[in-house]
Amino acid sequence: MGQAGNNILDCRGLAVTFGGVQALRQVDFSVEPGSITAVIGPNGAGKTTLLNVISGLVNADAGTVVFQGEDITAFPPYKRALAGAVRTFQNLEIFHNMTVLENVMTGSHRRIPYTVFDSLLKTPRYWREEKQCLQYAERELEFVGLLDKKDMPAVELPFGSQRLLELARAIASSPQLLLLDEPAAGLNIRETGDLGRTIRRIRDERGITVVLVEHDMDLVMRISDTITVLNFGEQIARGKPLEIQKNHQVIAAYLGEDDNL
Amino acid sequence: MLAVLGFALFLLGLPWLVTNDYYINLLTLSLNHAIIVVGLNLLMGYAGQVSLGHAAFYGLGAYTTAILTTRYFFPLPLGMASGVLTAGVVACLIGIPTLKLKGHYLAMATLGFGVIVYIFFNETIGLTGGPSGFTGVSRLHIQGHKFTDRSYYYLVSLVLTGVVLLSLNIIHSRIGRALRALHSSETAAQIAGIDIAKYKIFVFVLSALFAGLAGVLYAHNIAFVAPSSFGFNFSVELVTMVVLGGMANVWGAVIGALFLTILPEFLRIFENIEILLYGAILIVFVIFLPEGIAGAIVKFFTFLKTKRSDGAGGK
Repeated sequence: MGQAGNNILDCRGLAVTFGGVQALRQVDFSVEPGSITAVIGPNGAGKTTLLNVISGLVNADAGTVVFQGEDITAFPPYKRALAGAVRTFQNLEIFHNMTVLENVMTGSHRRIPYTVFDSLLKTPRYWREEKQCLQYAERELEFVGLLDKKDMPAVELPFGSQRLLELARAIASSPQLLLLDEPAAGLNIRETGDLGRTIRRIRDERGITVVLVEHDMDLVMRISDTITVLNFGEQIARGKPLEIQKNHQVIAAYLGEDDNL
Repeated sequence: MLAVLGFALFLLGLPWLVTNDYYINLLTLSLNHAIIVVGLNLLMGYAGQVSLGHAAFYGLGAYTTAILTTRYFFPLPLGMASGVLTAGVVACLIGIPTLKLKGHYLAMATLGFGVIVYIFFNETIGLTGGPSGFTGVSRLHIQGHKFTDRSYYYLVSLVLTGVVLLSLNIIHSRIGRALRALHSSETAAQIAGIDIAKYKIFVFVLSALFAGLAGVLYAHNIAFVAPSSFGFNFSVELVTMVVLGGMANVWGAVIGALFLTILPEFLRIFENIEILLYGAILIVFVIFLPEGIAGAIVKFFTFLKTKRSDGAGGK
């Protein structure tokens, strides 16, 4: 790792402090294009903070974030999304005032750049791009298996389906990088298995690079190419799943404790 | 589109139902209110931003055209355009700092703004005529032909139909989705690539432009403007129209404005207890129709639909 230019994402020396707590201390984090990279670590290790810094929801006190060769450290969240880095949320942030389909169409916002005047006057461009938007959305709903529920209010979906909806909304923007924050939280074993396959397909069929923060070790070990381990805001290990499983520091900090849960 | 056409025909036919010119003027006023409320509903119902100062934009539109056409001899079209534009420009200046505030703070900030504008109308007597109002505004005319009460009604109907059509077009577009998205979750909206600050200012300015437009039409209809029409009470009444009509429903806004403008006239006959009845009716509506009149209508039809499909399914 480390050769800038080869990586789709390069974070250098990230530091974040909340009050007296150092959530991240000098974290370097890079992601190779086309990979599935997992970030694991005990609770409070700084995993979600790392995702928040990458997506711009939290500003780092120090460090830089370079995405596809462009320094996006100072970008607000929406510009990072426009640049092609989107995410999902642990505590689901679906649009409760919309249908399933409208949620995913909103995800395609950046792909249909028609103007206010196009919408006011319903110009041919409006019709053309709205039609495209509908196609994008239906395609992604089919991809996650929710197409038959497209006209339902999004809030009426069961929890597991809402997770898939968030996934569909995220990929509907056709991102280069997808950040997933604990996508398996609250899912049962079968749903988690399906989710793992869906994440793989997102990478394999859509060519989207995936970063996931996850507690479910089975899922992480099964689908990840690379794993980064954080503990107390620091990176303590990085490697392939098998290497991480054998790493004594990791076992001491994380896996040993996790087994007791 | 069909709904808009039907609405236009309804407005066209409405005057045939009333005989008295007084009622025509009442209808004109209620449609004028509807122009503001449709805009305020875009802001509140769709984008979730509460404004308690929209009467100020209505007043800015009315006073600007009144003063410019009377005292500075602006031709009518130019004065009217200036009125609408003033409301928009002021909204832009106010919106940039206040729309960073969330929830109750935004409501407080717009309330403060409304009060300041109201005081301005009252105190700058040399400019606005102060509390006794500004007289001598000319009734709208085109090449010497003055509008009658009836033709003015049609003019306001036409403008309202246009406002409704434009609003519907915005809602059924990526812009409408962006507004609803930031209402639901500002975080998720940003992650979808939506510049929430830009959209908030856009919808705030648009709603102020509609309010300014209504103000201009008001001034050249009544030919007299006074601060009391543009105070805090009216701002609250506008919000009530949005809520009672149905949040996030363009037709709800129209229904709310018509209902609450016309209702007091019907309650007149009760004299002393008029205001009590008015309050009681509001309470009953809010309790039994929490989603507003339009929301209740939508629910009723969905209910009928599901009932019918259940029946067909043999349940």
